[in-house]
Amino acid sequence: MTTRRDVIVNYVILGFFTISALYPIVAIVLVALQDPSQPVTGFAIPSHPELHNFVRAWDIGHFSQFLRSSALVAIAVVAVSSVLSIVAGYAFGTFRFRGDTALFYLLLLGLIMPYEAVIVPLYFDFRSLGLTDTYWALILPQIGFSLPFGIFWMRAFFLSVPRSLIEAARIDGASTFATLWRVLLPFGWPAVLTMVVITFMWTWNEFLLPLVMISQESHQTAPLGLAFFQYKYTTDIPGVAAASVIIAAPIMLIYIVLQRHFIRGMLSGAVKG
Amino acid sequence: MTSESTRIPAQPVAVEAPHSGRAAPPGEPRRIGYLYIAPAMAFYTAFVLLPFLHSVWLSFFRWDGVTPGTWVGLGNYREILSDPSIRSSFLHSVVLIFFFSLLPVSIGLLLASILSRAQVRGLTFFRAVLFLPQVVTAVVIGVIWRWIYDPAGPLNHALDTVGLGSLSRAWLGDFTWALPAVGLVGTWVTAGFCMVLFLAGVQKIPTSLYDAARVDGAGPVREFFAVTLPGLRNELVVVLTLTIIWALRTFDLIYVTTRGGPGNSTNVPAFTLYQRAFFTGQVGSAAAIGVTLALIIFVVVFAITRITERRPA
Amino acid sequence: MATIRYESVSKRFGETVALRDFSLDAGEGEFLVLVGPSGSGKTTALRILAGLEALTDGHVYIGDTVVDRVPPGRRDIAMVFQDYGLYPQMTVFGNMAFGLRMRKVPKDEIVRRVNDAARILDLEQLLERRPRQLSGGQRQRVALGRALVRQPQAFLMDEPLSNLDAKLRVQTRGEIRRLQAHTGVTTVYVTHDQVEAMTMGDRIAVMNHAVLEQVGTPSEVYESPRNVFVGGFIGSPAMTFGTYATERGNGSVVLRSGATSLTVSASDAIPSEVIVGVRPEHTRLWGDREDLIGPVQGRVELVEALGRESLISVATDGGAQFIIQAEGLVQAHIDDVVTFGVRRGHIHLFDPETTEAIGRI
Repeated sequence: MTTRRDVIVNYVILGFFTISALYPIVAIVLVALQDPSQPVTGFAIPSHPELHNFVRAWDIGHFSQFLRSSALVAIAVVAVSSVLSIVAGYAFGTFRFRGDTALFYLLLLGLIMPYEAVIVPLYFDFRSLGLTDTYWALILPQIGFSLPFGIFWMRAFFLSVPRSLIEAARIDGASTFATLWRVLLPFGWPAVLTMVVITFMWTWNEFLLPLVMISQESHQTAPLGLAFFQYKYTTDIPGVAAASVIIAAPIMLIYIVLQRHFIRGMLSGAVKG
Repeated sequence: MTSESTRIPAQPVAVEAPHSGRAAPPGEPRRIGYLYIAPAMAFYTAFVLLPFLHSVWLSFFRWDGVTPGTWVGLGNYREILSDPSIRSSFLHSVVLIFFFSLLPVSIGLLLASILSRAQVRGLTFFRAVLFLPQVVTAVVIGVIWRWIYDPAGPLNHALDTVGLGSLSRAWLGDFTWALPAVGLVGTWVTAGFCMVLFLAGVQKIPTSLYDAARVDGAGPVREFFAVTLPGLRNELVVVLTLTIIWALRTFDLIYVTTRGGPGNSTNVPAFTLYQRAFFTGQVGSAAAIGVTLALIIFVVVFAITRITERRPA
Repeated sequence: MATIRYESVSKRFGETVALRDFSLDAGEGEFLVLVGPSGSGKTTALRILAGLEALTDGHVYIGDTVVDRVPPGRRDIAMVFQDYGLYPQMTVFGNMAFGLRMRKVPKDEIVRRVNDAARILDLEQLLERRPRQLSGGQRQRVALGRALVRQPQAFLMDEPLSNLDAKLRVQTRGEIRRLQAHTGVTTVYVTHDQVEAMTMGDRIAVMNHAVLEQVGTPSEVYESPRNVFVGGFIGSPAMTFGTYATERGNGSVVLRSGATSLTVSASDAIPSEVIVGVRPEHTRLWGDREDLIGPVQGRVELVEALGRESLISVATDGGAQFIIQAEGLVQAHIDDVVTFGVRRGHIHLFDPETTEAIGRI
């Protein structure tokens, strides 16, 4: 019994919150397009879009370098952690071995473990190994931290596979690996994609770890680069805005294309205990 | 007549040891499972578990990061309770819990209950947009809101335009208003997440429950407490857990917007930790703060899951 | 094809006993059906044979080889699952070829076998389709085809018809049976449906509560049930039971329960109390036949008019229930009193304590 008024009210409310969510993001893009010499007070659509800000931010801010670092770290982390998560999730979700429940709960601890609790020893250990200011300091810990979610996620997928499928493969003579590779993964790729996308997002957005581990600009990641750029050029608001847009763009693009997977991944976190 | 053949029983091919009751099927992977999980567990142990234990170890020392440290037992933890600056940073966290968690959850619940009945087209679009703030890098969000809160920024400008110019101020530089201002940023970030989750959860509540409630004469408020809220229990658990953890862990936002200032008014445990570990040479104390943070989070998660489990589904 | 043997096989899951001292043989080319209610252990027995579960005690042989510890992939058996277990991302061809590829069968041999099986099962048009594009019946045939191409020592089937609608089920029953006869592969078939068991099996193994109750040909199991359970499980509508006291007369025995009495001739010793089991098809209205033992009076409780016949449920004084099978549509109403009898030679006697069969008179 929904009246037309109900529908309109729904749209109004949704519209209001949507605009609230969008406004700051759209605003910053518009700011990035404005003339740096003019004071930027509000939400104004520039009469002459100034792409020059972007060029300036790119050059002065060395953002190509930051983006490259971020990409390198993110890809490395995603690659390794995905493989390990698939393989471990397969074992947790398919085999029965002693201690599997206990080990899994141990992993779940990592889901809620804050970086803050480990950043201190991680820094000093890496420093004593001479590995600070290297990509290893960023890649290795982040692999460790992405594993709990990845394994949780893949395990949930493998648990959802009908047992008869796995048993049929066993009777057909497939090894455990062949079952994974030839039977299960081919139709599990949506789950893998969601995991990849979320892990990529978390790694790309990570701030504290690079802040602590990296002091040389050569290895800084994009969020770090933005923070320092903003600190240095705090009055150049359109420039900073342009820099923000540059940094946010890769994730935004991936999000727009794959938003279904992002949302599904975060929504299904609801299954976790 | 149960057996038809009179053939001589064959000799077993191999001598069998007595089977235990829990023998795995011959082909079912057992020990190989360990092989599959080994690399993952190795990484996890090396870079998450062991560092945590190391943190605990460090937290028992007074150390500046350079010279050898001295054992202080629980001294760092006592300091957490006694030192006003650390205490206040934890208190600020609690304030942030209100902004990051309670407020957005309420907004999300409200929205979900209002929207629960009508069909909306383009839900995918709305969902995608509402979820957007979750995806954007925290640093970018910090930059954006720094600009919004800037004395010459759009917020003050808007206040001026509607005639409330007297309210405009340097939000992030104001001792009273900085923390709420940052809190509101958090509300903005997580409200969409709550909405998306609750909207999805509400779709799963069978309309028959609402019909039954309406037949029983329940008004919208009763409906909410009797049908919507219980139906969203799972989502509530997840949302509360995640948002409270985010509130307790906030670092990026504070770093970009206020650096803990002005003064200490927006200092949070994560930032205090950062300062102590890398700037003031109080590594042990920083470790203690980190461990405390982790423990608080564990307790919160445990409590939330327990509370929601106790009520029968 | 090979013989199958279970030798005192037991299976425990923690505290629960799923299979107890289970011994059974299947001869070469035999179609053996394991039938029983859920929880009877029939699926467990099958899975142990497949190697999907490990046994706790005893041995399993395929041919002359003990296969207790042999992984399923090396037992040279093929299995059809209740939900078919088809590989979703592979075509029908791929599904059927997979087991052969895992065994490194040469490519042209694979193609030959798959095409042969597809022809037999009428799947030739569907070879390039994916399982989700197929109907339930087609998927079932692909599952069969997957087993067929393996040319295994034995087929194992776990309630493969349960997910089909009734009409398709009857049709497919016949097809499976014909296929098996044609290929001559030893088959172990699990079902909870006793009609399926009776129509398909060379021999039936009736199971209950983890124990093998009786194994024999359908007619053996039907005519000479070894205990009350088998008597009541096989046959539809089910055998009816009652407890009677026996009185020996001269040359004859009277079975009495309340006001009901049946006078039979029996030479062997009969205990003082027996359980009597009679099938509805052997319970007739008095006067219908000449070889009836009775008469017995009963009060009508329920009439099922099925057109071709009517089933009249009656309660007798003394408590025993009977179901009378009558021809055509019978005018009987609830609370009517009817007179009926039981066909001589079809009264099953069971020991009241052990429930084992004593004899049939």
